[in-house]
Amino acid sequence: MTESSAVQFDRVSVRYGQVTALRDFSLDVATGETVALLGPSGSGKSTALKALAGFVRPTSGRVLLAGQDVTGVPPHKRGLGVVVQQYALFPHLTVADNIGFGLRARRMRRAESARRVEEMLELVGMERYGRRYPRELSGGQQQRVAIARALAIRPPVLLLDEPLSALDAQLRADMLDELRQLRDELPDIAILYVTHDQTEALTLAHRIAVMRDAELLDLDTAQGLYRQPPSEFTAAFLGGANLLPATVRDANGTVDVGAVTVNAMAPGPLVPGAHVRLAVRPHTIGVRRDGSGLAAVLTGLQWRGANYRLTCLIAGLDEPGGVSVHADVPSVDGLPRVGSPVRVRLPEHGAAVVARAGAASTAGDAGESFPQNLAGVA
Amino acid sequence: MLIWSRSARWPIWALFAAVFLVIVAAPLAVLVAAALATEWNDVLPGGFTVAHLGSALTGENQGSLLVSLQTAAVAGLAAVAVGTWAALALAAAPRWLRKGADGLLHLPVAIPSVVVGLGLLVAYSRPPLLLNGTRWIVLIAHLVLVLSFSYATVSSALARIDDSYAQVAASLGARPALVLWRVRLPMLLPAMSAAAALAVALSMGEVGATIMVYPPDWRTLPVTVFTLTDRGRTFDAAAATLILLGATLVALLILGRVSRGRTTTGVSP
Repeated sequence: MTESSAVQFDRVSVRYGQVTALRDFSLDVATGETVALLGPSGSGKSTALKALAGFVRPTSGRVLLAGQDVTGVPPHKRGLGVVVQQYALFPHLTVADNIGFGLRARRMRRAESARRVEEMLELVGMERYGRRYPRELSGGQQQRVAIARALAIRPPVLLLDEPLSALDAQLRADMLDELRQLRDELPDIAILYVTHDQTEALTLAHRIAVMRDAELLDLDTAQGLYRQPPSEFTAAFLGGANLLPATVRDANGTVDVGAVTVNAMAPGPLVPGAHVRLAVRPHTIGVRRDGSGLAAVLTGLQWRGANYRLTCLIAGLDEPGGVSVHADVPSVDGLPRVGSPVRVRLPEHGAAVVARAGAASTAGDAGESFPQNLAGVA
Repeated sequence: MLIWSRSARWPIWALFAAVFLVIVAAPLAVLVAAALATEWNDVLPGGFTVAHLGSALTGENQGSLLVSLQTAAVAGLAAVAVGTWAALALAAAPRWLRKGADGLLHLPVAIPSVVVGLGLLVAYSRPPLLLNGTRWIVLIAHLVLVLSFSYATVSSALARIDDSYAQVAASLGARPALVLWRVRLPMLLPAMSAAAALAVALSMGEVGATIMVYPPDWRTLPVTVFTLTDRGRTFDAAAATLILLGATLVALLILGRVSRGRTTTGVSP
């Protein structure tokens, strides 16, 4: 809770009747910072954004903008830029009138408002489309207009609610580039970006808040969360890591996975002998027909263009039925057949010890400290 | 067309043609023929005349036509205004209130219009609410009867419009009144004009409740048609019906033209 926070959620909860959509949510976003709220549907991320925009009223807790409590302030007095999933461009207004809507609502003089609209059209590269109607635009163009409309009022905070989810894959990748560029052009704006797509979060956000079951689970920089996921859920959700049962050998992060010893990154000093989980990214795992590594059986093989995704069942590892892992390997000749025995090689570096089982019960102190009652962390 | 086999299409079309002829085309043809006939004692009408049409457009009948048009215009406008208002208000109301009011607003559809007429007659025949014998009771009857339909049309359109339009408008700094005026109402305009068309069409044809409540100086055209038929002046009744039909069609065309004009050019901000 610093004074420079553009946005501050202070233990915000939102309940609809019996259903809790957001529980005890606290988060600060600094000016110039982009924070992604990442989580599956129903995790409360959109509710958090709506509480900030004033579209839903928190059942408890406070929402602050630039240090001012705005919990009871109606949306039209908050001055935030909002872009929603389906853009919600006003169908009866031209592109220029859509972008100028907020300016006219603020009674800006016509000449000045027209100038600002031109400026915004230029910012999103839509100069020639001012007189068109939204229905005459493609999905990507509509998205640009929605962003221009939100930015026209020069908001200190920009809220983006799954802005790319209505676009096809190619367009989404292009728009992601554009959003990143735009983010760099707007150093004075705090951006809250709601998404269920890890690529969007990793690409755009300075920090990522992982949401689950109406709660904030983990909060850290994008790289931090990816390299050293604090919980099993985050490890799997962000980058689809494999989670292998491991036993701590020494406090510095040397762990045993079955008969294999791995030097892993640890969130803190580990307790030798403790049982932990090792997060291993699919692209770091090697699969060979023979040689060293964990004995396994190849149970699935999927061609994915640039690489193959192999599914291997590692027997043993103290789990009844074995442990299934995914490995992404480059397209090379001589891949083993499904059903044949293989050796799974774990990376010597880069795997991470996950301290927390990732249950929602520990979400309240996510990202601040590691709970003391962990098996693996001293 | 769901039926792809060529041989199966013919019987289907034939059946449709037969049903259409008997139910729609034949009565209409007979009506037109009767309106233009001097006499009709055989299979086909006797002579041809426009005298009936002439009398339907003059004197008392012309008055009835004007009364019907005015009633439809006032009741239609009022129904769209009240129906839209109700739909907007109930969309934000608590669930129990919405359910209750929804049922109440749909009630006139379920009960016979004669009952509505009788109810109004009983309710407004005593001071201080003495409206019996005035044109207002006719207007109220029409409003009550067409309000259900205009409310249903607008509220179903409103349910299809995502909340995010109003939310985004508010986030851009628009006060609730401005959101209503510049975003919600313009987006409802197509539904409102459809509701107006429906209300006018229903009002122009209403007879059940009107016949219970109309005063001598405010007789709608359908009531006139009814009285003419009752007195055995079938040809005059047919001519008046034809005029009613024409007037309703023209009114609907004008409404359609107006709403299309609004939606293609967009609403000026």
